[in-house]
This record gives sequence, C-alpha cells and structure tokens, in this order.
Amino acid sequence: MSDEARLTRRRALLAMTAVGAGFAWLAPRPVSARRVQAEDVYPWSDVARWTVRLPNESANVAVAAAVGLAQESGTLIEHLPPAPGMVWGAAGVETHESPREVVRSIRQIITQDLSQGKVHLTGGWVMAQTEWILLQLAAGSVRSASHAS
Amino acid sequence: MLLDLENPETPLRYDADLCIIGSGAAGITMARRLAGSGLDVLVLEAGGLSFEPASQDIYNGVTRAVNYPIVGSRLRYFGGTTNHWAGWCGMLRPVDFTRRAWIPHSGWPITFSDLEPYYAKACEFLELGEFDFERYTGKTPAASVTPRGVDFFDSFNIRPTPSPRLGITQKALLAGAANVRVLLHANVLPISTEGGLVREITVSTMQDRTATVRAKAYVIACGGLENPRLLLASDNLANSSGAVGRYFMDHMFSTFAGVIVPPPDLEDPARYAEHLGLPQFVGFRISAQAQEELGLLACSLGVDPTPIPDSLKPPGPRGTRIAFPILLHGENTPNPESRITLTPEFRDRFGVPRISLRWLVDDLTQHTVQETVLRYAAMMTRAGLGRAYVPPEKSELDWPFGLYPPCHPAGTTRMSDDPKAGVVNRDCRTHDVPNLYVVGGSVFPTNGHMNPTMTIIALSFRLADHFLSTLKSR
Repeated sequence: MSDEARLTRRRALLAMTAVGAGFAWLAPRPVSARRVQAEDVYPWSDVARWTVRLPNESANVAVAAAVGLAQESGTLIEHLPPAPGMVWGAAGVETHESPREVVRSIRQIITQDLSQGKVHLTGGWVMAQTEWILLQLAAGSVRSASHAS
Repeated sequence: MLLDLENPETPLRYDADLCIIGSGAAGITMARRLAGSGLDVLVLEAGGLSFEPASQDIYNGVTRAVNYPIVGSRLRYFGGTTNHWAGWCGMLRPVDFTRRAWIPHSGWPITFSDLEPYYAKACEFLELGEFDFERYTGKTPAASVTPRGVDFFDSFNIRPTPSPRLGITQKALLAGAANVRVLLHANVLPISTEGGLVREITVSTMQDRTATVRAKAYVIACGGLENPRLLLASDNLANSSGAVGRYFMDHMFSTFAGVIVPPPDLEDPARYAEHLGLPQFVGFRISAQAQEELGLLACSLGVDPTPIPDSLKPPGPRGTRIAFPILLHGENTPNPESRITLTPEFRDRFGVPRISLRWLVDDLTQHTVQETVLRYAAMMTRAGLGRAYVPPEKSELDWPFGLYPPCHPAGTTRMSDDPKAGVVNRDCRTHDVPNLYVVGGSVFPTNGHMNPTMTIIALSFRLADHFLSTLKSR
C-alpha cells in the first residue's frame, strides 16, 4: 500500500471514529432502559433534557433559554415524524417503551434532520429542527407548570 | 528594461506593438509571457517601485450603499495589489462558467475547458505545485443531502502561492527582457479614439511631465475598480452596451460566520484537524447539483483549526474555551444596478472624476450564505465535529454572519458574445474598439466562490497567447 493510500485510509478511519465520538459527545444523559408496564407519558421537559445537548450548557439551561420563544405547540408536534410505538402528545411522549428507547428514536430523527439540513438558528445555536421543537415544547410545558402553580 | 518617467532623461515618446496599462497580477503576467517573444511590449505603471501616498490617493472615491474599502483594498505601484494579497489560489469550476437559469445575467462565453490549459500555466507561474486541484473533490465528514437526495457539499482545493509578490519576483526578469519596457510613474490620462481605434495615449507624472505612447493594441489591466473608471472617464469609451461599471460584484467573506464549539476531546487544534479527515487547504462548497436543485449561488466554507490566541478568538457562547471560526466565501449575484459611476464633483489631481461605488447585495446572496452556514453546522454536528454557534454581532448588512468584502472587485467590464450585453468579447477585446482590450476580474460575468487571482492570471496568459498569434501575423 502506498503512503498516500495509507494516509487516505487512516483519514477515513479517523472520520468514522469522529462520527462515533460525536454521538458520544452529543448523547443524552443516562436514562432508564426499563420498559414500562402500562402506557406512560414522558413530559416534554424530560424528553428535551434527555435528548438535546448543547456544549457546556445543561439541557435545563437550554430549555430555560427557549422559554419566551413563540409557542405553537399544536402545530409543532405535527412536524415530528412518526416513531413506532410512540405518540407525540400535548403533554409529552405517550408510550410504553423505556426512556432509553424514546431517546434512541428521537436521536435518530435528529440525525436525519442534520443530514437533510433541517436546522434552525436559535439563540445563536444551530440546532436540528427536532431539537428546536423539543425545546419549544419543553418551554411550553415549563410555562404551563409554572402557570398551574 | 525599467524606465521612470520622473527621470528627466527618459524619452517622451514611445512606440510599441502592445501597450499594457497596469502592472498588477494581470499586467505582469502578460509581460512575463511575452518576454522573449518578437513583440515589443510597453507596460505602463502609474506608481513607482514602492508605495507613494500621493499616487495611492488617486484611488480615493466615494462609496454608497454597502461600505467598501476602495483605497486600502488595492495598491498603486509596481506589482499592484499583489504587493499585499494573501496569495490564495484556486480555480473556478465548470459550473461557474455556465448559464445558470436561477441566476440572472449568469454565463460566460467561454468554458472551463477553454481556460484549463491557462490555469495550468498559472499553476506553474505561481509555484503552486502539481496541477491537480480537482483531486480532492467529493470527501465530506458526514452526509448532507438535498430533498432529491444529492450531496449538498463537495470539497475543493485552495492553495497559497509561496511567491505572491509578483512585483518583486518578476522585476529582474522583466528588467532584463530585451523586448519589454516598464515605464514607471506613467499615469494614463483619459483615452480618445481616432477612426474607431486608439491611436495614441498620453501619460503623465504627478509633476505633469507628459509622454505619448503609440501601439498597435492596448490592454487595460488596472483592476476591477479602475478599469471601468478609465473607460468612463474617457468619454464612455467602449460603452455602447452601457455595461461599463455595472454588475459590480465582490465575494461575501466572513471569518465569523459561526464558531465551531468542538467536543471536549477535540479541543486541541491539531487533534481536531486530524479528525476533520481532510488534507490541508481543502474546504467544502455547495455541490453543482445542489446549487441547481435549490437555486443557490456558489458558496464555500471550512473550519480553520489553526491555534489562535485567546484575545483573537471570536466571541463564543458562555463557557466556551476553544472555538474554531467558520471561514466563508460566497458568490455575489450579478446585478446591473450594483455599479461604479463617476463623481464629477470629486476629481483627482489630473482632473479625472473619482469613482462612486454603489455595491448592492441581494436576497439570493443572503439566502445562499445562510443556507450554507446552517447546512455546514448541521454536517459538523452530525459528524461529531462540533456544534456551531453564530455570534450575536451583525454585519453592516444587518445579517447575522458578520460579512465583509474580501476586496475581489469584479464584473464591471463583463465578458459577453453579445455586444449589447457586455463590454469585451471572449478574447477580452472590447466590442466597440478593435484594438482595445480589458483584462482582470472586471471581465468576469460571475465570480463563483473562489478567490479570483488565479483566474485573472489564467485569462492574462490566454490574452498574451492571443497577441502572440494576432499581432505577430500582422
């Protein structure tokens, strides 16, 4: 193998490793793999915190930053593509899957968004459309909760 | 031979086969190509061998609309603006020469193939190494696809020349060439024609020592701002199309289009560059297919992982320790209303009106920049190479990407086969005056995303070859 070919191969391997490392970096916090017995609702604020990660900022901070943005929860949910076994509800994700499975499905959608250029510029951050929607929904639920109290 | 018109012993009358006005990238390239040929070549340089404030002041003018550094962006002495350019070289690509239906006034009368042999000469002239710029295409760190499933990005090669100061590197060769004379401090005064041809031009020093030049053919090679100025000031010379001064373009440039905030394990620049997986001097650009599908201009960008001191880092988000700026270079839509005119009320010391530049940047340009930055950010996130953050500061255009012109003026004497639509034909000859030519960025009908100098030099080699075949045969 020539030096050039060796170098090209090494670069390809590094690029592949980088993809893996990226997911690790952007991965959600550890969440339960336990499958729930009955259908459950995971609030949007939890789902956003599990799946949306911005560098050096916790998901809580990101959710808080999204409070105050235009709220169109009903139509926002329609932009989320369907995922098997899950219903995107007004209050959160309705499913009997484990939190880990919910996160896996949503991360898949986020990856598709990034590949297809479905992104938003919000608060300076460039984020996938689904991430942006989740933050909006989370902000809505935070606001609702605060209004309820 | 180097001559200085300020020297009282220098002759006041010159005859030549070819008179080249300007000794910047274009003029020097042509002179270099013609050195040793049978043609008698005279190069006119308005300045001397080094910077002179009084000469530089001739470049002063007025800007309207978007601010533009019309004085500081260029240099008026032997070597021209190559005396301070950064030396980045790359080629336009085939799609840049085509008529793109979604871009008004696009399309060159020549193709990439017409220019390719001259790009090869430019590559050698600029000591850029092997002529293999297209070798690096098609490698991106992650998928970024359009709705029709084509890749949004491909990659391209850009290289810095090790010898950017052409006034220094070519001076000895031109001074020693028996058939080339360079006349310094020769400011060309407005040109007139006789019987439809330029018969003679007058040049002057700042001290009003004047001389006359007679040549078979004349080439204006003074840059994208000065080329139209000289024609407009010469009683609208070669302007039956009305295109002189119009279609002014530059590139959209930013080093602050965004900040890549790398993952913690890639904060070291060397490690980041390694993970980027691309050779040095390779960046990403919108693919030709994506441009067509999405109706976009050309645009390129990349991350510069060079270590930068904290004080020079662009503003990043809270808590950011290391940030790599996104460098962006985008095409500008050709627009007849984006133009250079003259200011009769504001003249230089020769009484010639100075330029007034009204540079307009349209929505398509802005849309292309935004789409490219967001796509790039998404690709880098997808590849695990970082999150993008766009600093809150805005540019003069009130865009969120901190754009400013990299000073690549173009389009103001555009090339067209149609005498009603352009100033010069495919040979860079003016449609109106058969022995008057213009060369430089001003003949570009569109400017792609690439830095222009290598294309200017390729066009200059091509024009020099044109004279070798046409002037010699007379």
